[in-house]
Amino acid sequence: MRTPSFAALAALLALAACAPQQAADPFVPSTKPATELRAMQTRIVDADRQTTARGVVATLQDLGYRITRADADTGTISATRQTGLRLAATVEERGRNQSTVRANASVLGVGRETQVDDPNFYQSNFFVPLGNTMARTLMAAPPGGSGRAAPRPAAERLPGQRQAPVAPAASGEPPPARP
Amino acid sequence: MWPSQKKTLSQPLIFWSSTENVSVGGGGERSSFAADQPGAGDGFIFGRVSAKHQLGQRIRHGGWRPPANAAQIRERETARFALRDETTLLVEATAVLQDLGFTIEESAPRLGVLAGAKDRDATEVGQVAGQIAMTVGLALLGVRYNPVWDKDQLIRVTLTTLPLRSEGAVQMRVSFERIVINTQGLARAERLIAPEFSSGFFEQVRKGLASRGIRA
Repeated sequence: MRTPSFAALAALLALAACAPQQAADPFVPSTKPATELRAMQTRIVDADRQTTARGVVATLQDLGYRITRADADTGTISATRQTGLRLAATVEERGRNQSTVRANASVLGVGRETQVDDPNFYQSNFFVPLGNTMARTLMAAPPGGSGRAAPRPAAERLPGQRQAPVAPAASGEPPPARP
Repeated sequence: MWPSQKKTLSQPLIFWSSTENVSVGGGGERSSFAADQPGAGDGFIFGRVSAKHQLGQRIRHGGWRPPANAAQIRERETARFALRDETTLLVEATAVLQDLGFTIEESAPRLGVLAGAKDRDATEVGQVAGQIAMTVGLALLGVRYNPVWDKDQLIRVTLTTLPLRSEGAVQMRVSFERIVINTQGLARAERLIAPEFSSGFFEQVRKGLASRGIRA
């Protein structure tokens, strides 16, 4: 059996390196106004940023999510539940002993990922359990607050894939407000 | 503990199945919501409106709510280690996960988070044989049937730690889950909540710490 030449191997490797990365599903943002989205997705917690971020992690694990990404510097935690729900939460410092939590969830369908914009979902399925885990009462964010937009939840690698899908560059941007 | 590994280079066309499967030990506890099944009303027609409708249905049916047995699962998946240094515990946990064949995909020690995964072949001879037998049997009756069986699986681990300063200990929780894709590209997730998964892991972490002279 002939041994493949070094040049052929190098050419193959070069071709493999040029192979396009798998793109993430198209993201369908909510059409609700940005202020309405922010109100349903944001709560204030009486705890420092580190404690709150750990509380978010513990809550997500309790709810049956798998942690996909966690970044202490940006305070961003991204997680996936079962095979159809993703959630990203961002924790920001607010004053001396307060933090702001903003959650952003999306459901996966065939060939698309749709942002969740149901206030009941965020309240019942994330903020109430978060308050219970942290033994604190969460407060609504004041209107017109300048909280950072929660990023799009990170996708995780699937069976048979060598790496997670790459989200489009604009995916981290806040959803466009309705004109 | 883990099935044999299989490398798959092709990228399957993947559709998500929304069925919630929760396995307990060797048996299984399964729950599903009618609104999530393909073809159930208009809940599975994806689009801006229908996805919202589907979500609304799911919320009304109690979907995505916290698991009813969350406290039991938490207790089973949690252990306390009598040491003050959280980092030491995370380093040991990382080593044990790597020994078990997991690739660490996320590590955030300041948040006490580790996440990893490993690929495994999900094909079972019995399932394949059963499907082929059914295909042949139905063909004899003049019915066409596309056989389907589990193909690939990814076992995922989420590990979190929490320092309990007043007790001079660190709490660790470890959760295992497997994502399975069948030959038709449908994916499903199953939580692996049998006690031996977490207890076996904790035992290995304690052994690892003991080998470094740390009693925890």
